[in-house]
Amino acid sequence: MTEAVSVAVAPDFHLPDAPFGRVLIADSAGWRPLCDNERSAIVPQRVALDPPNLNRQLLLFALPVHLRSAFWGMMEQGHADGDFDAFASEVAQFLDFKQLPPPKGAVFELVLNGPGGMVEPRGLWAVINLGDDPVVMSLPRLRVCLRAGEGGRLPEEILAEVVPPESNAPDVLLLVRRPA
Amino acid sequence: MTGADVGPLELLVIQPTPFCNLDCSYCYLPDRQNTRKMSLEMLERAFDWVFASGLVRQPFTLLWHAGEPLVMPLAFYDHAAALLARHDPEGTLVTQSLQTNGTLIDAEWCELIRRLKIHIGVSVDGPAFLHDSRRRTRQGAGTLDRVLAGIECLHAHDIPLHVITVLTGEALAYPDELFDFYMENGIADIAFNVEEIEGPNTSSSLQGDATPERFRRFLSRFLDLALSADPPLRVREFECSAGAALGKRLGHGDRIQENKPFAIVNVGCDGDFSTYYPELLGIESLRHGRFALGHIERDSLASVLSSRRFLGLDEEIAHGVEMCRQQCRYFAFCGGGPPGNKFFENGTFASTETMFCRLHTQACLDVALDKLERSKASV
Repeated sequence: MTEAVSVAVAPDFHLPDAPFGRVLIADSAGWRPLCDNERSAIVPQRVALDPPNLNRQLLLFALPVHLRSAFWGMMEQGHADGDFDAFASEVAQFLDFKQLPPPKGAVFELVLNGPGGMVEPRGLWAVINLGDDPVVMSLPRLRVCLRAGEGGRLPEEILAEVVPPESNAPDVLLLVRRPA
Repeated sequence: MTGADVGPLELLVIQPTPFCNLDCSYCYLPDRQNTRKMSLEMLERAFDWVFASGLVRQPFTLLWHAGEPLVMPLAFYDHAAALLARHDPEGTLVTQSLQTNGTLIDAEWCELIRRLKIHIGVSVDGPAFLHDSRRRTRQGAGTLDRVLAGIECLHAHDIPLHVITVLTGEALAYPDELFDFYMENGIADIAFNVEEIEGPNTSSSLQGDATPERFRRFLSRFLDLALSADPPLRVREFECSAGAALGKRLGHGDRIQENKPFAIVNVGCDGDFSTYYPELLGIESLRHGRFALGHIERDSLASVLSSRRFLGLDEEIAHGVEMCRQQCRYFAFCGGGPPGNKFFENGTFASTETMFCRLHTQACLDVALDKLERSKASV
């Protein structure tokens, strides 16, 4: 059976109730919360700060409110490419300050993902939920919930899918991809 | 040394009680569980001493501080205002200021604060995961909810406030979260203190070689956010550093408030008084004995100025300032810094650099100068 990746809150971030409350694991009956012995394997208590460890984990993070507000302000005023590039640059600067820098040449995409939609998983470095409703990421054996403003930085060589929403309201996603 | 050689008084710190209803992990007050309170008679004598001392030669600030001033009854401050009016009938000499943990603020306090025109500072360390990890009750409970209720009460009464946030090692990772916190709670005037090594707080989460660079990164990012807000947030560290950078350079013989004798007078609840750095009151050293230099009922300014204890203390502080002048490139801006940090960190006033200097003076100046140069370059 494929081994589940481990999930942690990225260093220098604070997410209430994370990561325990965000992770579901697959079993024969569907998706369920982690049991105690799965917790220690999948949700380590402390994230070792050395990059090899971090690179093997799904790292949860959150954008500050002021960046999300800037995004929605931009959308209300009518989105222009220059505005989006400036917003993406702000996000990159923030993540860089937090020592979670996007790869050089990373590509930022704004995606509205409705029911039945599909996000291309190849090359994804991070998924950020800019909307108000939770977004669910699907990884081998795991599902991870991203609340409003939260993001997940994917482990290297792990493909993740975004589970399409069940309601008609589309997910509003900022995708960060490794350069081709 | 005579009274004309010291002062003028710039800051009068009155500690009406050492007691604080909180038990913050980094607190420097050794006696904060002690519920003694200053009597009205002692307060009257304190004002009489100050105004008779010859130190009052210009307007000054009266700061109620350390422990928690709001554990005193409301009537104490009404009485204080009446006493002050005897000495300052026009109300032009004294500006009252009060630093509180915010947990006891209610509508009655707001009415008094507004009526007496007291400038109010609230200590709050940001979102709950930062604030409640350090600023707790004696039972270990977090206090943020109560502080925010106090701030909301001040807002509801249209009382302007500033906040003091103590930066710990952990907080340096969270400039954006702090910015969000201030914006969300209508806080527009911010001062950052560093977690200092003082009194019972014998170590700091900011110790370590990596901290100055982390502090610079924090401050730079926070200032970028604060200065781009509409309207911009006021950040004391930027304003003071920019002011120092653009103002008069300090040189030989110049002293700043904290190291100039009797520019600050600190009076404890029992009537002991000291000068220089307020946090020294209530502390003693092997070399100097108690830093309380006298008692307002027994000791005149003249008698203190001629005492061996004061002269020895001032000589050592002056030596430390001169060492800073000779050795530190930041001296022209900081004037030798607060002697209390030298004492608590280096064990002597006759010393130079401290962790406090490296962060609160040097890093702040570097970042402020960088921002000023960039803004000049962009014009």
